[in-house]
Amino acid sequence: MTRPESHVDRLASFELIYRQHFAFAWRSLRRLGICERDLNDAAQDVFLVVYRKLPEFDFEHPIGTWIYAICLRVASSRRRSAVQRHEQLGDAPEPLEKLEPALAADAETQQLSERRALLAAALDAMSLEQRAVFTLFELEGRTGEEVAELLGVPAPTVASRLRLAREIFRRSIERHRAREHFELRRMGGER
Amino acid sequence: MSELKHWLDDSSDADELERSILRAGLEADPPPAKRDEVWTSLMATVAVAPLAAATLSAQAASAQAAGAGVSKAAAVWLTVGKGFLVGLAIYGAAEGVTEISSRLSSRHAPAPSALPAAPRTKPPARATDGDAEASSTAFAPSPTPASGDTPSPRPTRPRSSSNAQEREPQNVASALPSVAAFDESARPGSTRLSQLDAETRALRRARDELRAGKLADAFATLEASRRQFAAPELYQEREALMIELLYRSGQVAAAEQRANAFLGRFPESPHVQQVRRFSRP
Repeated sequence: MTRPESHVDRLASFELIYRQHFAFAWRSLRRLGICERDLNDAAQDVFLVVYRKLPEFDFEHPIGTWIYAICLRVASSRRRSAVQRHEQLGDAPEPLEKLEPALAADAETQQLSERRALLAAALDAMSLEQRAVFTLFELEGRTGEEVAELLGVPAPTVASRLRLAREIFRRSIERHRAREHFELRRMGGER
Repeated sequence: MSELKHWLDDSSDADELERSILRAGLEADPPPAKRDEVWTSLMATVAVAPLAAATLSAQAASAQAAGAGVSKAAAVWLTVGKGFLVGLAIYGAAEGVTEISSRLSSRHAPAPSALPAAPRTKPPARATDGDAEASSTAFAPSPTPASGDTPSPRPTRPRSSSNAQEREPQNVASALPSVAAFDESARPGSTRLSQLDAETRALRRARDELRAGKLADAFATLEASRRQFAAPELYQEREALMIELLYRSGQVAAAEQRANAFLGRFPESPHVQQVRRFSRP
């Protein structure tokens, strides 16, 4: 794609970029912790920046990298705002990715719902940087080199963040296992 | 780096529970309608925001004054929870008002805008819900109005592209008024009524700006309201104003899409007749 020269070119380029990258931006925002009800606004924020900065963008660089960087900034900004808002209101932070109600229609859906909740809890325990590396690598299926390029950080930094994120993930799952074990023992004891 | 293995690989050291949890997070693509929905909002913003930047500073003082001019009588109505009526008064939909008035005027005292009172028959919808039905033809930016069945409000043609580019703000978000302009409901411990009050004032301001032809100001006011009230009490009224604004600013296709979605979602809304003028049969 070449640099758009006119307003019409710019709009056409923007539409093309939007079509090609909307799903990626959406997934990224979701995995970076934007909750369902805010996803529309966050995606709009991302692509407003894309539209505004399009004339300055160097088309020699990968657009996906640029868009992911914008997603990170939007997620970071919204994360700060959410924390401030909850502090003001005195509420506990809202758990991210409350995707399905706990009362699922069938066992399979309920299990999926529980696992998503576990994933969300584990991701929430990570810093945004760790979360970005972990989700890009483990969920988006990118290689370490691709993650390094997307985030604009050295490869060893990616490896380090991934290691820490995995530790957090595993601790979170271990807590879940321990709670389940405790519940089973308690129920057995009561019997 | 290349020795890193994905945990979803069978040969990794992740156990089955860990893999199953990761697999549960793989499905994160947006529903198909979301792309069109966000695009429609984007086009509205991209088309009108430059105007907002151009005129916002000059109009800020008068807009503020207009926003502050809410009558005491309106506050009384808010206090008794007549958000439905307030919404009617805000939008000023003559046909809708007449229709509802004829049905309900015998039961209720007149509101500040000579409107009858009635409870809201349906709970207010969230803003994001209303847009979900946007059609898949949303990728059609800035069409000119059709000449055949032009509704009564005359669309204002967007400025020429060269002017629009010259006037484009460096930062669209910063060109919009701060949500602090309507910040009463943002206070800790504020009630639902205070949100209704704040929404009412914002929408009244937007309506006045729209009717005065200050499209950029109206857009800025509506956008600030949208950002402040994620779960609005007066969603229908805000959407009806936005549809009219889109039409008047030359975004006819976007106005039609949103109007059609509105009519499908709220077939019994008091704003139906007004919104229908912007829809495509």
